[in-house]
Amino acid sequence: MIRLPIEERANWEQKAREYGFKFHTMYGEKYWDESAYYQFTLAQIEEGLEKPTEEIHQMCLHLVDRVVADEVLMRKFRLPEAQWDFIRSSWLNKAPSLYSRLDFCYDGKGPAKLLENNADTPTSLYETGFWQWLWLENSVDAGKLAHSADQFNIVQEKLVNRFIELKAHNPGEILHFACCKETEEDRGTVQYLQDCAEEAGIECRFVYIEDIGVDVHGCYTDLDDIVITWLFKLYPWEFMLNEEFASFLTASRVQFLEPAWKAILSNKAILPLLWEHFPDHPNLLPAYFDETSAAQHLSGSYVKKPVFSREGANIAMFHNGQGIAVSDGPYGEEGFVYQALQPLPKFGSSYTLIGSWLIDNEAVGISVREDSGLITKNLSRFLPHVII
Amino acid sequence: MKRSKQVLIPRLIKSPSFALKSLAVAVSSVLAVGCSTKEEVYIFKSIEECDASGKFTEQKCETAYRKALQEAQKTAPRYKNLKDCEYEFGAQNCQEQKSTAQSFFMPAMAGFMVSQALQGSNYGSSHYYNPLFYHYDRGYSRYKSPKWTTSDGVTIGNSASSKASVRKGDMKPKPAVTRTMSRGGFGSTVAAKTSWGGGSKKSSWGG
Repeated sequence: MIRLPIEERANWEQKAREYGFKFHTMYGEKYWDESAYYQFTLAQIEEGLEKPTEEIHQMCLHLVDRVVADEVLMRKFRLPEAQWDFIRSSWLNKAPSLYSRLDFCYDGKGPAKLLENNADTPTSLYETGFWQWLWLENSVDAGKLAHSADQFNIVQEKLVNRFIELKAHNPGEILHFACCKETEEDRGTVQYLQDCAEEAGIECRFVYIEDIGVDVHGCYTDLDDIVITWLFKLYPWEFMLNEEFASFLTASRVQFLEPAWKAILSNKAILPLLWEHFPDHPNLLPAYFDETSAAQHLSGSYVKKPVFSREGANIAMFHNGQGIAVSDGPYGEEGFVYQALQPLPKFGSSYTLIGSWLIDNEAVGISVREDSGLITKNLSRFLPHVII
Repeated sequence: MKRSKQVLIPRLIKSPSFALKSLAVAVSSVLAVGCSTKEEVYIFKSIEECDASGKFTEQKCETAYRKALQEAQKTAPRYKNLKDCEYEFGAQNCQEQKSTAQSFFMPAMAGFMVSQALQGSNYGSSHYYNPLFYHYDRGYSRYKSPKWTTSDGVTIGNSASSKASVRKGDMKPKPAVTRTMSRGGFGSTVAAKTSWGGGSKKSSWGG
C-alpha cells in the first residue's frame, strides 16, 4: 500500500459537470483529489480487506440476533422502547438489506482494524462505484497507468444485481427514494442509487424526508399523494425512530432500505459488544461501554465516540490520559462508547482511512479517504486507488 | 478483474432531465406501434370458478385471488359516504372501512382478472392479476347490468364476460393514490441539529 502522485486529468472538472458529480469541491475545499492515488497488492486487497470485511459483517449479524432478543441490550443501544417490536420484526422477518460500509484503519502491513460500521446510511457511494472507476479507465487510456492496473470496485455491478433481486421480492412496486433537503451530497448519492435501481427495471420516485406525509389510514405518502410502500431512505434510523411519524412505522408496512435492524449494526454500541463476543479478534480493537473499564484496560489511550454519530462528529481522542484530538458536533446526548486508540497510518502529510463496501453480504470494493487530522470527517478528501 | 466490467450506462450520464424524458417518450411510442399492446386475460368471480375453468392450477388461482384482493384494498376508489359509492358500484356492493382517523366506503372486489401469460409462468416479476369491480355507468339502477371495471376506471367488458383482451397497462398494478392528512413528521431531528455550527449548510446526514 503506497501513495503515488499522478497528473490530474486535464478535463476532469468538466467531466464531473457532465456526469453530475456536483460535490467534488465542498466549502471551497477539494473533496475529490486525483493528484495522487493509492496502490495496493492483490493480497492486501483480498487477504487484508475483503476477507475481514465479510467476516466482521457476519459477526455483526450474529450480534443483531442477540440484541433483538435482549431488552438490556436494546436499552444499551439507546433504541426507543416503543419501536423495539418494529426493529425486532424487521430482523425476524429477514427484511432484506442493500449495502454497508465498514471503516478500517489499515496500513497494508498489520491486520485491518475495524473503526466503525456504517450500515445504515453510508455515503460516498457514487465516488466509489462510478467516479473512481472512470478515473482508472481514463488514466489507463491516457497511458498514465499500466493496462494491468485493476481496482477493487464491483460496487455498481453488484448494486444493480442486488436491485434485480430486490425487485423479485417486491414485484410491480414503486421504490421511493428519500433524503433531506439542502444536502447536495446526499441528494447525489440517492440519485445514483435511483439510477442503479432503474437500471434494474424498478419504477422509482423521489421524495424529500421532510415532505413525506401520512394519510387517513396511516400510510406514508409522497407529494403527489401516492402511497409509499417501499422506501430507500438516506436518513438515520436513530432519527426516524424518535420522530413524530415513527408511530406509523409498523402499520404502514413499508419495506425499508436499509431495514430497521440496521439501527443495531450502525450503532457504536456494536463495538464493545463485538469485543465482548469476539475478544482478541485480529480485526477488532478493544472497546468498552464505560469509561472506567476503558481507562483500566486501555491505559488512558482511547477514543470516546457517541453511540449515535455521523461523519466523525463529537469524537474525543486520548493518549496516555491526555486529549490529543477532538471534534465538535450535534451528537452525544445518548451516551458514548470507548475504543482503543489506533491512530490512522500517515502517508506523507495525510492520515488515511479505508472504507470497505458490502452489497448485502458480499465485499465489493473500497474507497480511500485522507485528512490532515486524525479524525476523518465528511470533508476528508477522497482519493482513487489501483491494484497492481 | 476485481472491478465492474462496465459502468458507463447512458442512463447514468446526466443531461438536463427533460431532454432525457422526451427521448424516452419518443422511443416508447415507436415501440408501441410495432409491438403488441394487448394481453389476453381470464375473468373469475371466485377461486372456485378459477379452479373449475381448468385454466390455472389451484395454487395459482388462490394466489391470484389473494393478490388481487390485496390490490383492491390498496387501490379501489374511496368515497366519503355510502351513497356516492353505491351510485357508482351498486346497492349492497360497498363496504365501510374504518381507520384510526376516519371512515370511508369502497366497492367490494367483484372478481379478478388473470393474465393468460400466467399459465406458462411461475410468477416472476411481471404482474399477472388485478381486481375488478362491478361498475354502473352513469349511476346504479337495478334494471341495468354492470360492467367489469378496474381500480382506475377502465372498462374491461360486460359482467357476463369471462375472457377479455386488455391493454398491457391495465394489468400493471396501480399506484395507490390517497389524501395526505399531514406532512413534516420526519426530519425534525435534522432541523434541530442543523442549528449547530452556526446554521452552516450540511452536505450530508449519512456518513
